[in-house]
Amino acid sequence: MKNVLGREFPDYIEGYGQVRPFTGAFNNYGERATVGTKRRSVKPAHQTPPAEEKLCRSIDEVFDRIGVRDGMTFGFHHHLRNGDYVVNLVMKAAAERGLKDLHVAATGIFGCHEPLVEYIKSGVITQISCSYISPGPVAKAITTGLLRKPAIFRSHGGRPRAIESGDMHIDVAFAASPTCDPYGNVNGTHGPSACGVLSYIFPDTEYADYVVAVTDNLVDYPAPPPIQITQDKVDFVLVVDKIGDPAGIASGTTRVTTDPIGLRIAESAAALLDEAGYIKDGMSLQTGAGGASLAVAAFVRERMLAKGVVGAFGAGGITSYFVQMLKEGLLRALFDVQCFDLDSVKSAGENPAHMLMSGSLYGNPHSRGAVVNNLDIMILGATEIDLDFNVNVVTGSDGVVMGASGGHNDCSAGSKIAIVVSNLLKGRLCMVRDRVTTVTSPGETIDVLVTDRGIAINPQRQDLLEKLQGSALPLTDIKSLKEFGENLTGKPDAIEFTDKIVAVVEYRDGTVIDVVRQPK
Amino acid sequence: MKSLMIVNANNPKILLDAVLYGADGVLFDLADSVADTEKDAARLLLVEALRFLDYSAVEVVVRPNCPCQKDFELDLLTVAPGKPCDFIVPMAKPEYVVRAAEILDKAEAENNLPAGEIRLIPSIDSAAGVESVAAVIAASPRVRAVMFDAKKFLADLGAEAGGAEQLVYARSKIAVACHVAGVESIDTPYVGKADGLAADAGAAKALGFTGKVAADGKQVKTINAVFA
Amino acid sequence: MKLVREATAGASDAGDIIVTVLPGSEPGVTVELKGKSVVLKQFGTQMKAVIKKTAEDLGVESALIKAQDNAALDFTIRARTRCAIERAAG
Repeated sequence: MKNVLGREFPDYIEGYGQVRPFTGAFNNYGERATVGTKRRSVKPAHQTPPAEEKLCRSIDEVFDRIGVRDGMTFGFHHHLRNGDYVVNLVMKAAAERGLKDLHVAATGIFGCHEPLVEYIKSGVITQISCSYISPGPVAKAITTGLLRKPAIFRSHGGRPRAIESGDMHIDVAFAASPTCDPYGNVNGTHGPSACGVLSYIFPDTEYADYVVAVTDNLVDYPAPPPIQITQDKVDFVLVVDKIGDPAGIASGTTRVTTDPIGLRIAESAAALLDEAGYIKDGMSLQTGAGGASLAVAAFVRERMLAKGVVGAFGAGGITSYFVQMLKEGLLRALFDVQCFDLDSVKSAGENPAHMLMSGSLYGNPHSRGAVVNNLDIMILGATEIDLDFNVNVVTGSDGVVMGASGGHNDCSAGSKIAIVVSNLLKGRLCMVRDRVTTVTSPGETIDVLVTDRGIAINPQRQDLLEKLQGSALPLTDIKSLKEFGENLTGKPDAIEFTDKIVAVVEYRDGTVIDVVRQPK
Repeated sequence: MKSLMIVNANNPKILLDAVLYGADGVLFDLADSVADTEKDAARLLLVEALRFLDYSAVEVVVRPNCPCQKDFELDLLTVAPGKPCDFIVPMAKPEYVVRAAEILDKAEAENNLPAGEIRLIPSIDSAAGVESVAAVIAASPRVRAVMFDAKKFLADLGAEAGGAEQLVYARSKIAVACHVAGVESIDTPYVGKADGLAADAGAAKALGFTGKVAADGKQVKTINAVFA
Repeated sequence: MKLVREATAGASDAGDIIVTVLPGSEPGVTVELKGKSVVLKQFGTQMKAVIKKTAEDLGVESALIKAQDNAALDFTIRARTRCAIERAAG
């Protein structure tokens, strides 16, 4: 079948199931049921023999008490980022038990998860689903078709939707827990592996059959506030030496780019927002944490200060820049799904206006209203964009997996204006293509492309085009940008693919927006 | 020309992005920025870039090696077919300007370029240069501006580089001579702490300079603002 | 143009290419190109053709040209190839 964007795939994909094709960004709303859950109740402490206490001293004890078996799905969060030890620790123990056919449903996969490649080869892991993946060994294993079933990429809002609807059932959630008490109250902002908010694991703690808090900082009951996962959600508490490497968890301070070209791109984007009337009281803003996206926030901040504007909120992955804007009173609140640096971890632990939001609250289209719905301005990156403004953040132009949806399509759909900022040329590659290699976010949700070689506005946004008439900004159209780029790089030869589907890219509503095939 | 941004002519990425910094002019340097063993590579890269990339948004200025070196003539003859707007004449004195003009006469004839189209920007790099600036300008009708290099000037004097007060005489002399001759005057690149740039550019402007060399892309915005 | 020695031009910087020219043992210009697969898969054929044409335009009749690319555009490929050839001939 072909979906509405002309992307072709079979009606039924082996290892994934029946395909619901993408039909448009705003077509799939209405009444939705959530799935039922199972849980085992716990008697009062004075009625509980020591052997039935939540606290476990080894992963094998946890596995034994749960009765883990082949074919199970394990959920993990990625708030420890490239410093995470928990996924590797659990999967190593699973491999040593001889378990097979496991599904790793981690919200994010990083370079530190290289050991998974061995388990993929040996059949311990046969499926991976994630919202984020960094270029690296696991991404390469997916691209080269080593996984027996296709990987599934879901957005940060799409993953909670899949869990709540029953599309993806989590058997056991292993929640990396920077601070935890013996009864399972978890705090993410304290402890040697503090990582801030634990937003992405909440659907798992709500809907998984078993929830295991994995900690390296066991404290007396009750754990210090703010408690993010409460004891009523947690079956077992597993104490290990270390859940992560602080060096890989959060960078000291996130910094805006100092590259003058990146700054000019950011300055143009901020000027465009101002000219189009988006910088005003009550505004809301989200940016990626990349140098150029973040620089837009810095220039927007300057314009807010100059105009005396107070914004409603900043959202998404939070950096020191947003923390500063909150402290300065430029934003009234932050909605945080992920702390990118130590300043944001600290702020999340101290400031009540720095609020945690779950992945579902953030972007789930089938909730009673996600925060992205309230977002005015979204600043995004992109690997590729095509003449219809469809964006790819999943594969390189050679078809190699190098990312996943993250919050891209949640935020571009929810926000009033979604701006992609990027250099037009990346090495010898022009990021504007006739057709993106893999669609992640549909063009109907992307409004503007700001590059170092000019700004293109989606022709669907006639209102924006009219507002910006006579502007001094370097406005052009997306076709001209593509031609400019191709005059420098040459026209790319087409990449050849096999028929093997190595990954399925779901849109946030659970329909299939595209698939990734194995490159030849 | 308010800002003239200096870039290393032997770096492909910098050549590609040179038009993006907002500078009025780009000075492609074949001299100080390029190692002696790479002079041949740099001029070949520059001429290919001038043919391939669109530099119509900026004034293209090329700094060849010193006329006292053999590379000077090769630099001019190799790069001229790329149709730059101007060549710098380093260590400027009237004879060097005349020689540069003669080489360009030849290069323009050989490449079917309109005679006299490529202009010259003598660079005042020495005490003698300061004293003879009017004669340097008068040496060829190709001269369209004069550039000042304070670091080399002070080194020639044997003075340690310090503050703007050291440069008052040289700057005044150059700015006045340029004004009288009706050519632009482009002040020395600024190499101190970033927050001192605006004051330094302002000092040059106050003495009559019409523009300034930007040592890198980060300086362009400030220089454009000062000379606006 | 007759090549008398092996010579190299270019650098490993982003956007550059290192071109090494060796006098050939048989007639014809042979090009070996290495670099990032994402670039070579899409532009490798075009890039090799640029190197070959640059050499032939300079009158090189026999050479082995090895290039290590770091996402160079055509102007850089031409310049580095020409420089390596002039150095190999000089």
